[in-house]
Amino acid sequence: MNTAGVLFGSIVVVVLIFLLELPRFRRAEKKEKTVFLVLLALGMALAVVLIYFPDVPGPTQLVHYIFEPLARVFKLE
Amino acid sequence: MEKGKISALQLAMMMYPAIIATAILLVPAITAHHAKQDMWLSPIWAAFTGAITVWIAIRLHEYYPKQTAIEYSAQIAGKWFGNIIGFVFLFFYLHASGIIVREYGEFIIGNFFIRTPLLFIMGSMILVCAFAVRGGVEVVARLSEVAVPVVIVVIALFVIMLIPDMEIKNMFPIFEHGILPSLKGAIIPQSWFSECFLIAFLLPYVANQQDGKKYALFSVVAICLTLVMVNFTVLFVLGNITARFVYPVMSAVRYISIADFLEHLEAFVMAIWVAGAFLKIAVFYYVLVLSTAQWLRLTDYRLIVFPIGFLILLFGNWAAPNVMELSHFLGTSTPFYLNTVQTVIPLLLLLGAKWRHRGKKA
Repeated sequence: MNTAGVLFGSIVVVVLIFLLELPRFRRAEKKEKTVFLVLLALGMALAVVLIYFPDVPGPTQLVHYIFEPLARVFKLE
Repeated sequence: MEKGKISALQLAMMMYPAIIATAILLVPAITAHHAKQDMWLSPIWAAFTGAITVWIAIRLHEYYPKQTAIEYSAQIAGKWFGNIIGFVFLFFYLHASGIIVREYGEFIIGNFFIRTPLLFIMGSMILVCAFAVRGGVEVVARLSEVAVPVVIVVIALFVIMLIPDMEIKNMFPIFEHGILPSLKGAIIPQSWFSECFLIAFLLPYVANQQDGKKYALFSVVAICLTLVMVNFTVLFVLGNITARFVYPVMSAVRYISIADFLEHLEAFVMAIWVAGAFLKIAVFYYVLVLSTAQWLRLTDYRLIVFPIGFLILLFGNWAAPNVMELSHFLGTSTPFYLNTVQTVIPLLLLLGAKWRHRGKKA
């Protein structure tokens, strides 16, 4: 998949989410507004990281690193 | 925050697809790999974890009847440490939702929509689930009530239609290498059963509280029976090559041929799996959104549904580079991961709650 297209798609998704929730966003309390924007920003940042470095180690690798010794004890390999 | 109420039967109907939907995708092959012809026994061992987890969740619920797991972990472990436990739950459910969406996407891509981009399949499912989650717990519960009977009937129909292809001798010799292989085969399905801990987030919204325990255990039994039936079917139809398939149930259903007329019923398998996966993702997604809102002490969770959906999509993409690595991860470290978060941590919470309530009559 081409990088620029996916990047553009992610921006479109984030903007669409923002526009769709705009009426509710206006009515929301300050704390909810902050959380909403922070979550969207987190999503966008993670999308950019994943687009440019698709092989960056993620939660799966972390979990695998922690629990793999147990899997070896039970010979699940 | 959540004003909706569900019935205990609806709770059971939400739990059923939340475990079945992916437990009959990749899991039978992994079970068959370890247990060989004793694979039909593994779900019965596995159900013990389900019963223990349900018992832990119910006991915790009795101590804190109006609170979900996120709220009472702060009460039990103190504000600071409770928040860390809450974060572990949040992260776990985000990661787990991502993995489930990915499993669903890989299944659809691998069998039916070979040329469709994975992101599109996963994204459209998350979008549909997001609308259900925004509707609240009642909407998810009613969707389950509509879809689950259909799923059960279709699974039963497949088993009946496969009877002509079944070879009972595939299950012999029983216990060729003792009881251990079937126990080892149970390690993976039992971790799926630990997902019963989801009821800890839903019990506060059950209207008929006194029936909650009964129906929660009832769903564990129903899940166990379904898995035993599915494993029997797969074993009888495919025999000792079961472990070589990625999706054994799918491959078994391809054998259906009645009077050279009723063939290629895979499309129905896809239909019920899309329904099952939809409910599973919706339940996980709902729990994740509700927990996030409670963890951050928001007054309403609806605003954060779509941003979290976007995160789930990214985590689904991030979960594994391909389906083989995903299967390897699910077959090795996942069981310990699921059990640690959904059985061991709640057990520690229960011990903490007992200690806090010592000397008082519960």
